[in-house]
Amino acid sequence: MILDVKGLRQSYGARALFHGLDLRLEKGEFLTLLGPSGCGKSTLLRLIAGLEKPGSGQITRSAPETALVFQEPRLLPWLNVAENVLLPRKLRRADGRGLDDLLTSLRLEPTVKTLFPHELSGGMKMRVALARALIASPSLLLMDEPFGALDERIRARLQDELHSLRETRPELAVLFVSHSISEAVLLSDRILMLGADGSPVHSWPRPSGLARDPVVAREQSLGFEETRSLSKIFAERAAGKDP
Amino acid sequence: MNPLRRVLPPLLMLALIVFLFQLNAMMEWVPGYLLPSPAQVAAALLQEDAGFGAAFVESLTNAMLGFAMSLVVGTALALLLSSSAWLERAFLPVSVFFQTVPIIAIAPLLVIWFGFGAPTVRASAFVVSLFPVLAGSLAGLASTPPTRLELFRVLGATRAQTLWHLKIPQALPAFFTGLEVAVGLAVIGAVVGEFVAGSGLGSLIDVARTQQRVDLVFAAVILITLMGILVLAAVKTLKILVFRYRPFHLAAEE
Repeated sequence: MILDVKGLRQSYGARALFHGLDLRLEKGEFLTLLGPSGCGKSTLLRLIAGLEKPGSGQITRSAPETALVFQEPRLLPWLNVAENVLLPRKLRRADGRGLDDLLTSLRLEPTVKTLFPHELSGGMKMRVALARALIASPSLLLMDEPFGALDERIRARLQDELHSLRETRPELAVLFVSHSISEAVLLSDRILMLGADGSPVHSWPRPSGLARDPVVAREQSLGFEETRSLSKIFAERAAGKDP
Repeated sequence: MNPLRRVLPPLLMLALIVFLFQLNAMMEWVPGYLLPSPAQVAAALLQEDAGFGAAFVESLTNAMLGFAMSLVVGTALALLLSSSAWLERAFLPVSVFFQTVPIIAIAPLLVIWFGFGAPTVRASAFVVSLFPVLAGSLAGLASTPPTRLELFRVLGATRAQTLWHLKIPQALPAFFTGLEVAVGLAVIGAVVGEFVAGSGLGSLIDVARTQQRVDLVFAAVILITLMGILVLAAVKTLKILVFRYRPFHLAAEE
């Protein structure tokens, strides 16, 4: 097990979140957190990343290396692509080995290495941010709606790349936050749907009939029974209504 | 805009002013001992025994040494204050003294402390140019977006690494804005210092005043203006070079 969250509670003033949430993530697993906005999905990632302290409960990470990809790329404008990607290494005084291979695996041409962020498109910036997260070879990758701001076509390509990335790194566990049901269905081994107060309302295991390859699965899941039922649960439960 | 169209209007304006001065001298509307002709001023500038060359170098050197001290002290102080909210709260109101005090009022004090000559002039340039450097650097250091600070926390950066790799680059645009203000003020501070402590163009103006030599006064004023333009251009050029090397000016963008 790479991540174990037990009895998590967090409160902001009168607002309480999670109500004793338990969450486990295995090595190589891709878990997506789905839920309405404001339900604490991002907060949960921040708690796991150590950016916030939990009110109560325990968060145990057995991942030697955890990386977080934010909603925005958060690249430093004065560093070029190579320097941005290598920033985590630089902070640890490590060298830049493996940069070219990593960039290639994310479909970034070696020529972009010397470009600055303002010269990149939105999709490329997100790829660079992803490369920066992967350069330290994390065993746990936390992703907070990383593709939310991208248009549909770029988003689909990045989803495909994330999938092929997992094939080359079978040990990598991903905790992904999304509010897109179709994205969650495409990518995840498991989906945990959170209600408006952050407590789990539904858990969805990937059906064996659903193709692993997102290109195939995309066609499949359009009419997939599970997607439709998930949308129904999302509409009813996650929005805070009783079923 | 094409460069010619940008440069032409001020040049024409300047030519018009020079022409009006010359016209005045020819028509003798205002007597020459009150308003010299451009030719007289030019002659004064070229007059060897007036010592404009040496005075210009002296003023420039003193202004720049004062400015350099502001640069060192201002940035060091900004780094220190930004490291502690308590220190900043304690010191910043006090440092406003440097911004608000009329330099002419404390110049005599500087003479008492440092005597006549260069040290007082440099101290005067330092006192007036310190605040913009300090304020610019502090504002720059405080301008780091919380989202980037968070990134550095996730990456496990130390305080020193966050300062060096994030806060200082982020501070550069505001820092340069401070420098642009400070460098011009350093020239003013130096000239004011020279009025009371002797030496340089300031003292030259003072002496010319006692001799009723308006041509010398005008010549010195033109040189001081030129000096201000020169040092400002130097700082702006440095800024352009630094920002061309790396796009620090985009630091405020996501």
